[in-house]
Amino acid sequence: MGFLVGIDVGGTFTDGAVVTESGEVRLFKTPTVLQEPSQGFINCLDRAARAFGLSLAGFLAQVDKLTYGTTLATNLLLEGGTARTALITTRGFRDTLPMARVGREYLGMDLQAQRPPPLVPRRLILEVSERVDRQGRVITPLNGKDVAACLDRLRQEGVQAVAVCLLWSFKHPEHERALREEVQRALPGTYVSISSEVAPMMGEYERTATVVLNSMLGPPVAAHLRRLVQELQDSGLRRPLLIMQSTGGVVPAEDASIRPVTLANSGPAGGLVACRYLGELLGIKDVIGVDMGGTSFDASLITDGEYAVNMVSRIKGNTAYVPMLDIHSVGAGGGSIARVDQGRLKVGPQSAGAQPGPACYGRGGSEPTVTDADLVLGRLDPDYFLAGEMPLNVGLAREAISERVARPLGMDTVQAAAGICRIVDAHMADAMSTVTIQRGYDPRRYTMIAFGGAGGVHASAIARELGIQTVIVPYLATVQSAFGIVASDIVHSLSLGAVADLDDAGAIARSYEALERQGTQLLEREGVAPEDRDLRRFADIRYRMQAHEVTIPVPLGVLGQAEVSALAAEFERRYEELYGPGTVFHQAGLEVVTFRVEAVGRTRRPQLRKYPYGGNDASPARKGARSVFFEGSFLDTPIYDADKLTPGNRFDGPAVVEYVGTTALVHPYQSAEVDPYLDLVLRAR
Amino acid sequence: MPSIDPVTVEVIQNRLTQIALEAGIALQRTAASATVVEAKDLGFNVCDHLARTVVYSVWMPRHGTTLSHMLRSTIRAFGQEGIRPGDMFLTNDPYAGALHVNDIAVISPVHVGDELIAWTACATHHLDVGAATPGLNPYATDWHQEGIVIPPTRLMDGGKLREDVFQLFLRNVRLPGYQALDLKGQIAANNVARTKIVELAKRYGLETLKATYDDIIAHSEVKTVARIRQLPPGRYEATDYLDFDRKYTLRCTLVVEADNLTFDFTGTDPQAPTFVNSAFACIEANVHNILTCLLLPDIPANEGCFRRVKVVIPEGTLFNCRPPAACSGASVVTGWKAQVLAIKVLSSALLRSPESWRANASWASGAVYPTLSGPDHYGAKSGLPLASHTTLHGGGARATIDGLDVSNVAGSTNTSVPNIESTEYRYPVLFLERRFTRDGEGAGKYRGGFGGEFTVVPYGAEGLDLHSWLIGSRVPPDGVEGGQPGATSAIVIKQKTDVWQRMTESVPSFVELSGKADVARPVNKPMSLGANDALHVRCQGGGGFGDPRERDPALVQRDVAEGLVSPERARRVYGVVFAPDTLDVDEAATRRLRRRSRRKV
Repeated sequence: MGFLVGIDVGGTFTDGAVVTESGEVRLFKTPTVLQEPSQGFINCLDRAARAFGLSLAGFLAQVDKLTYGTTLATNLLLEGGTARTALITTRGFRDTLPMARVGREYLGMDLQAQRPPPLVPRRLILEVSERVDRQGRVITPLNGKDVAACLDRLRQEGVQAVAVCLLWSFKHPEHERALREEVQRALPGTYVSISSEVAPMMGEYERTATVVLNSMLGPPVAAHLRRLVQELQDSGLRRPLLIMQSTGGVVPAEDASIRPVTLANSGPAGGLVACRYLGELLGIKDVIGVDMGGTSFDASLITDGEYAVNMVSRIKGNTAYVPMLDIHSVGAGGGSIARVDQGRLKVGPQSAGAQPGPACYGRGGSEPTVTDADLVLGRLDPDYFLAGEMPLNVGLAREAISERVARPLGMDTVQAAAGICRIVDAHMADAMSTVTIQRGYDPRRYTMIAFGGAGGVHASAIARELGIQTVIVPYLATVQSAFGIVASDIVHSLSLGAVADLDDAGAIARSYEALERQGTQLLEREGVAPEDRDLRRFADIRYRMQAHEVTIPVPLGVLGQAEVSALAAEFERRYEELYGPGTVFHQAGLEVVTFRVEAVGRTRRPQLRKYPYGGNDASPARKGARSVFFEGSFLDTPIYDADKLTPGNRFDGPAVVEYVGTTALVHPYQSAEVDPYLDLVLRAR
Repeated sequence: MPSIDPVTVEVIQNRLTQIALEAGIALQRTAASATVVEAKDLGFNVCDHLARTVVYSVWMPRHGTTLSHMLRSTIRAFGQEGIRPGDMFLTNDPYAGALHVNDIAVISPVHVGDELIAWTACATHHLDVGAATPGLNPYATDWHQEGIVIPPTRLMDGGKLREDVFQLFLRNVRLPGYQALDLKGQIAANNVARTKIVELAKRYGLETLKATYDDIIAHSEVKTVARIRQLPPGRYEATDYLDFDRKYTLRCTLVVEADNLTFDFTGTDPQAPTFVNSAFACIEANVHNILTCLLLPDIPANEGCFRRVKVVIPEGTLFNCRPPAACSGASVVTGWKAQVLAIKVLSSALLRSPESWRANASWASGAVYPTLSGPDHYGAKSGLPLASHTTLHGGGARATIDGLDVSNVAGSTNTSVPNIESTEYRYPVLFLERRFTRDGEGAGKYRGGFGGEFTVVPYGAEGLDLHSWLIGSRVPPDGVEGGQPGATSAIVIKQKTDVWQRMTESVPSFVELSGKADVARPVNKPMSLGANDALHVRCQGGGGFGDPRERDPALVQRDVAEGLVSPERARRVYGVVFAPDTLDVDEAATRRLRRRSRRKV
């Protein structure tokens, strides 16, 4: 047994979390090296090694698990640097990608709308004659002359990567495979991915977008990971480097290089993995994780211990078959700007960002933000923001709110600040209501876990809007993501688009067999011991005439007629739960659209240390008092130092608990209790 | 009006908008038809206790106005005393405010106790309502041939579904399986919204909620007036044409005066003896739709946006027909034409205002309706709604940017087309191509958007029946300020082609197939499409903005390099010359050619 290490490379900081054998968590923060992220990664490890009095080699030799969360793919898509990519498609269908199925719904109502720039310019979309039908039968074989002409064009254009998506290829992958071989033979070193491997599912537009994004990301992601793995191995790492995907599971670096599109939005996944981990630890199965930072508010559900996952995602202006944790993001955060529009108070979506930031940062920002409102209301301590590293200017905050909001609305400054908070809290509650209704659940059954810099200040107000009783502010709130990365398992999400009637038990069994074979092979290759392997089956089922599927877990083992009937019943139960009584329509018949298997390789997970009971008296942690605004008036409010609280401590609101990177508000209607892991549990009294 | 704090108003308005959105999601996820689920042809309104629209359809915008008409008709039909908690009403009567008979509305009062506090209303397009032909009936000569017409009718009675009415509906439609789910989905959507509005009322109190309604509407009205004031007062006139059984003349005059807009359609031809007419509500809805998208996209849409807008249409005309005129084509024929007229008059006012950048050339508006029918893969006889593939219309050019390629018509802001695989999976056809129409853009300094075209052949069926009609095969979308018109629409058939011989080696495009190309007329008798026949469909391109010879040669070069514009067209229309055998712009030759062609004009 050795160290479990998670490194989370963000835009500004690289966070490291090291869990020791005794379950102690040590945290390290180093600046991100933007030009060469692997440098920042090594620096962070170096810092950790020294903290344990070890050389880098000595430390790495004792590392039992090293996981890596990276925004590299996200940044490449956002800021450029992806590979120049060509697309090969079936003759006649060159415009599948640029047409994007019309897709006006994503462009908004304004007649001035514009499409996002194309992923591949039309001149780099090449056609070959070949045609397969809905049952996978070849109508037109792959045309050799077309292939030769296509290779000539690729040579002339000098692309770094090629994506291949042919009609019905998930039913008959041979043409795509042949094309890949031809391209690799003619242009050695070119990165090629094919849709029947990256996203073997029905729907040629989404499949094309997925494989194109994958090829665009392939060369830079693969190069980065190759360098990093080499460097780590040279420095003494003996375990595989595991990479965080946007589903909350990790895969070894070589798999991530083959399917880099699975990293596309992996940034927020770590935080949610930590939420689930914490939920398991505390015996809570239904969790809403909320992460509120400076510019965005992310909310996501964990129901019965399972993440909510979207099988289809929007990436770089396109719709792709990339499974992702369903994280609902709203442009609302501490930096959201408040303004008056025709006598109406509006908050966001414009944000002051980090530069110039809220008025109270004193960096020249003159527009009032949510952080300014929090400060005016006494919720933040101007002298203890980022543990005092960044003093805030209350005068500037007050001035901005008074000038821009209070005066135009004829309110006093405090009323205006309270109004700003009410609007932003309600807005976030609305967003969470959408998340739950889309999934067919009632928010009241959930416990909220709030993290991120601004989460603890606003969480309780949002929870109250939604009727949520309990809010937890985890002790690791500000490094939640790095910790989550340590806690994740290997997960290969495999799928097969092969529409079948739900009564065809034989076809269903064969589909799962094929996927499970593939999953087992992957885990075997990665050296996961048989007892640590877990296969989980799912099926996307729908009424025969519908276009929306519901994903249902499927039992392992033999699937006979009885099991299949049970599946149908489970679908209808879940369907009614989602859409309300009376919506099932049995006569329509059921079909399976996509078979899914999750091949899980359980890795060693951190065992968090339980701290000893410290009695219910919290007064030793009390560091002072100040006047804080709660529901209509300022109250004299005790302030607690989070680092001095011990398990069992209890106190009633109003109270403020201050952490190094965040602040938690305990409302007058709440009581707070510290759990054995030092998390703050807030309950309505 | 009791005063109410601006914070509470903002919170409640956001919540009401969210409720309308969530209700639409509920419908989409429970309905069956591709029109709802994939094309998202649905509308959802939240109205106050006085039936004023507080949240105008957040989905397909134009349903917002027709829902408001149907709600008022429902109240007229049942009276206050006939409307009880738990009721829902059903209607699709164009003369009661429906866009056309296929758009079916389910309308629900919202009560707290016995007090009426709001209304919700949901409309969606049903693929069939039992007309003489599947879907729309282009041969109809009066409304009795267009399917079942339901005046406002009680569907839910005190919380219980009226099975008699539900069955009456299902017995009259060709796709009861799909449509039962669609209609139940509409009920579910109203249920979702109703529950949430009641929660809102209980939390904030009825008086606050009612005061908020007033404020929401007044707020949008103030902002609308400010926008109207930027348009110079005056009269702005436009003419367009509708090509069907004959060419009809359509006219609109926009009168801008003292904070008010009047769209006056006087001068439009008398009503037609066939289905291309429209009742009043549909035209008003399309005018409102363009207003929100073109002039007011940043203003929350509700009753307040339309208080200063009057629509005047003489009765007995194509745009305001009298019973028993047929009018099932109103939604995609007359309605889309009304959108184009609204764009034309508003753009002409905008061009003379400080907001000139908002002006648009004509967007494509030619409905193309080929319907194939035959046994599907399950052996059931069904219609293949190829119309869901014919929204590949090109967008009109804007005053400072090109038009959107395959954008659908201007007002249909929420749509998508099915994947080819999902269509082939369900129906016995094979697509040979689906692409942008080369040289199909309306040329201009800013060009119109390209429309799309596709070719299908029967596959897995001996033959299929084809009904077809189309608009815009002769009248293209116009350009403005020297911009050129976009491509016309077309339905073309080749019989007894060599498609299957060719398919042994390559995937042929329509032009490569043997056989004589028969160009379909605007309306055609049913015919059969045999195993070796091919059907080709083309949608219109958008109109151009400004003189094409002023277009940046680099942009013309890009379109040529991308294969969208031919080098010949670049030279002839845009006056751009390339160096021999290259795609390098010959700048001197381009300047000379552009000077010369200007002199000729």
